[in-house]
Amino acid sequence: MKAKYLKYSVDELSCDDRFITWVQTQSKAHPDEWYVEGNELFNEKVDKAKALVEAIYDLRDKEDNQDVKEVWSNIESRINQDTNKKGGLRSIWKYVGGVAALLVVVFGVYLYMMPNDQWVTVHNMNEDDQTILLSDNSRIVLKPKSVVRYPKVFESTRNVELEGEAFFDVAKDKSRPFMIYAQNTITKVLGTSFTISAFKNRNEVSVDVHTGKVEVYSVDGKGIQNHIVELDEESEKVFLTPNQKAIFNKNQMDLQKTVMEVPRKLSTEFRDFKFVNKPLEEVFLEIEKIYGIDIQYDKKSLSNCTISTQLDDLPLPIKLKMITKALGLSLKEKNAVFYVNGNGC
Amino acid sequence: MSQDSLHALWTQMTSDDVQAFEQLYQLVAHDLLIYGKSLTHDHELVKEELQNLFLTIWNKRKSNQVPDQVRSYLFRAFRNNVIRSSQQAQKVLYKVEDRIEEGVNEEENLHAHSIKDIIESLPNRQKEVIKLRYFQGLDHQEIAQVLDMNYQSVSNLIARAIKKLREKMTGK
Repeated sequence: MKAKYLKYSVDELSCDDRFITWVQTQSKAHPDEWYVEGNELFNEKVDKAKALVEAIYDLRDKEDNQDVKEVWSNIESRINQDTNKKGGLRSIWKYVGGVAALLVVVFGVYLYMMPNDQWVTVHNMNEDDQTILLSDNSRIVLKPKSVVRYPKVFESTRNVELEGEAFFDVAKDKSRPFMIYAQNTITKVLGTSFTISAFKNRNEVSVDVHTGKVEVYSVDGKGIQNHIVELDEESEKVFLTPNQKAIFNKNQMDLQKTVMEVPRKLSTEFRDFKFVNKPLEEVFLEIEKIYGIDIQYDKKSLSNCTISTQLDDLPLPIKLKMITKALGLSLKEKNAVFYVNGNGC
Repeated sequence: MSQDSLHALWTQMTSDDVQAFEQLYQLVAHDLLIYGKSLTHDHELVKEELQNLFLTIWNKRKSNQVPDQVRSYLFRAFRNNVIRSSQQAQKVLYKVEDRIEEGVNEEENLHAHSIKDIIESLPNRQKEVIKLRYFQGLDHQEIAQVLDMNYQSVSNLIARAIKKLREKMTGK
């Protein structure tokens, strides 16, 4: 505290921006900040000013959450309509839906600093997602019952620990890869967005990629606590691109890659997936492009296959199932690649 | 809610990030609504203006620049819109010109009983400044930007209101 405050009157303290901020938001965490040991005269003024600021603060309206929600849902539906017209952000909205009540809640979140270093632990005890902004402008959307630990300020590295589930939107910084330690996995990225699900009591850890490229490594439990794991060519890892996910089975220490359950459209161009007598090859090309996935099939033997259908609202795996079923072909997925087989049409 | 994180969210929103946009909304909507309702009794109008403000921000995210001071920009734009449309509808609680006559009803305060009564009976400009400072959490500088006043005038208004409240509290 600056010395000038010692001369302040109760009125002057009550009007001071820093003093008001302390009373309203920090006095629970730092109760002694404005008191000066041994200076009873000044401390008495702090008491009085604090009481006044609190009394005023208590009068504010507190009942508007319903309106906040109502107005947002109007805004949301309006911008949703606009983007739907263009076919743009609809896929993102599926994700955003779950984050609807975001940030309204601040209660029940334990935030404390580790005693020796500058790490922060956030435990989301709410029923809603909680958003955390990191020092590099990366964002974490922490799901309920999940814990994340991160340095207050990133220095030469960007290491974060996760237990539970979170969506990460990582700011680009080529010189400092962003590493997430979650159970027996390390996810390494340069700048992208993805979701990690790593609960202690579940056998699987999963990493879903929304945008960009991600590397997921499996490691044993020893080094992971101290972040001293050496990642090299030998480490077991998978590369993920959008709509792919890595599943790590803790019991079998087995790392696999596959396609997300509900892949999102990556192209912002609007497609209605309406096909009339279209060759299968063109249909597959379109699906590959929009979802960023790989479909393998024998072009020669399936060259005479054509299809007429409309598949707009169906998730990708169902789309592929409908097409292959209609043509009497088989469909398999392995390591995030779809394999279509059959003897022609 | 630091200025920096509001600024960062706005910047992210300009690259079509709906989530950042929603967070920006969630961080300020509550305060804006309460503030708007202190400007007019027509609460539906306030909600409508909040919706319009954020739809405009979203629709013009590509063409408009990111404001330096996001929070005071939002309060100022919102205040102007609410006052304009409620004046059109004749529903504004007071007119902007009231500030010239400030002090007229100061004498009537003598019989106010609670802090709430005292705040409500303050001259309009003082009342608004007190609410922005102690309810909505804007600092002196931000209030000056919202109300288009200079810093010193804001300080004077707050100091005068606080003096009155203190006298009342200590029973002078």
